[in-house]
Amino acid sequence: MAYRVLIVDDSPAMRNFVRRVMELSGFDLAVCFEAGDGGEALKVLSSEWVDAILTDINMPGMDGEEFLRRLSADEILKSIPAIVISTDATRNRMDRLTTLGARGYITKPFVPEDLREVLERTLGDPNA
Amino acid sequence: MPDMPFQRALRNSVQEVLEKMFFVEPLEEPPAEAESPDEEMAVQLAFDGVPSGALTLRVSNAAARQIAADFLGEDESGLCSGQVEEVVRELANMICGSVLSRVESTATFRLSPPRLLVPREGQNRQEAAELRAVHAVAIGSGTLTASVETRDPVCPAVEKSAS
Amino acid sequence: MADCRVADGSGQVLATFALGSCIGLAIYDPQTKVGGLLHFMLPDSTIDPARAKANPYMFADTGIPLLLEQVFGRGGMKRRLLVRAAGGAQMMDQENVFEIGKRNYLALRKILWKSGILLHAEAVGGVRSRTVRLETATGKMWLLEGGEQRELVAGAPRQGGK
Repeated sequence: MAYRVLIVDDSPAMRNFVRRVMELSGFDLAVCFEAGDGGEALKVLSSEWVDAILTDINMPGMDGEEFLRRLSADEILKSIPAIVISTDATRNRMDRLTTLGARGYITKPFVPEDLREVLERTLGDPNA
Repeated sequence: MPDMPFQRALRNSVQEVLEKMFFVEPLEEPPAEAESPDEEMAVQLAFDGVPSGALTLRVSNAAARQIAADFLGEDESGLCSGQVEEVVRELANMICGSVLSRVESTATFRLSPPRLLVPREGQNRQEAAELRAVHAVAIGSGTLTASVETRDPVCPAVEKSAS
Repeated sequence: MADCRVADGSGQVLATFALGSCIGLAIYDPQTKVGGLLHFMLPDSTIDPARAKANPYMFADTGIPLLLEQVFGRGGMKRRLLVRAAGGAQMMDQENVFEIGKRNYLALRKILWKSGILLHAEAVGGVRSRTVRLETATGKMWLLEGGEQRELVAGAPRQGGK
């Protein structure tokens, strides 16, 4: 299966890292959209379909939590699996995000293999 | 005056971030002579919460290039300075987030985007901020120094004794 | 002691012994049944280029690319590779202050990342020496540690770590 993915993080370096992990994990990326904050991400989603969203939380402009809130309020967008990648490891944050529909969560810093595990658990094993 | 919880958090966070995503084992080293500002880069980011404050990160240019190349999975020769800068900013962001999670596990913080400090702006301390922790390590071809300062008191006991 | 063996579909069992702070890196292509096992001792060849020339398998940065080259040369494909590692223990030696085991492990991860490869399973760290066998007929990797033998299976990463 060829995946269409949206990676949301204000750091281009981190977006690059996450994309690389996805590719090395065996996900065949037909297209990889990138956005620097929730607002840019919503703009992408207004005209493009994606199979998965990977998003940071702390971003200038619209942060990841608000972005997830908007996704969960949209009948169509809420069906897209969203994985959160964030430095914030607090219980409060994780509970809120799960309520907002995040299907997977990983804390920075992480080893690539751990992100692969979250990707497989959330999206399925691409090599199966 | 070193604040033990912050100092410990900073040391552990620097180690964890560098090992997990930069494949580097930081070595503690005795305080070296200060690098000339031209040979290092510095970034700073502010955080808002309880407490509020800032994290400052300084890295030798050579070390910054090396870890940026490793992080991006590319050759050093192919990197432009913009890429190195982006990686160091994200490094600062991750160390800061990790420190705050360790020190205040129930609070939520807002982190500002890390900004590059111009040379010699380095000693720029935030107003009424107190230095809580400094940690310097040797990494590959240079050094990395992280420092955290805050504006609000963290320990309720300190507040009580002050009143 | 630093060594590299590659086998292609002959049903050979590749083995390496007494991995203390050294790392045993096993890679295997289940489709073509090509397997390789590298045993390296130190992370960085730049400390002794002459040694690296004489035995490139001694260092992670010279040994791992050679292992990959040989496996690809015999029909292994990067996308199909099963990648497992063992070793990197903190052994009681005079040089322990330099944490060779841990540095070897970090060098391994860095070079795999740069080569575009992720680990599927690992048994690293701790304080015990390990012996590793890779069966090229089946792709199974056997670990002997503390007198006990067990299979190192993918999907169970970071075992035996600190």
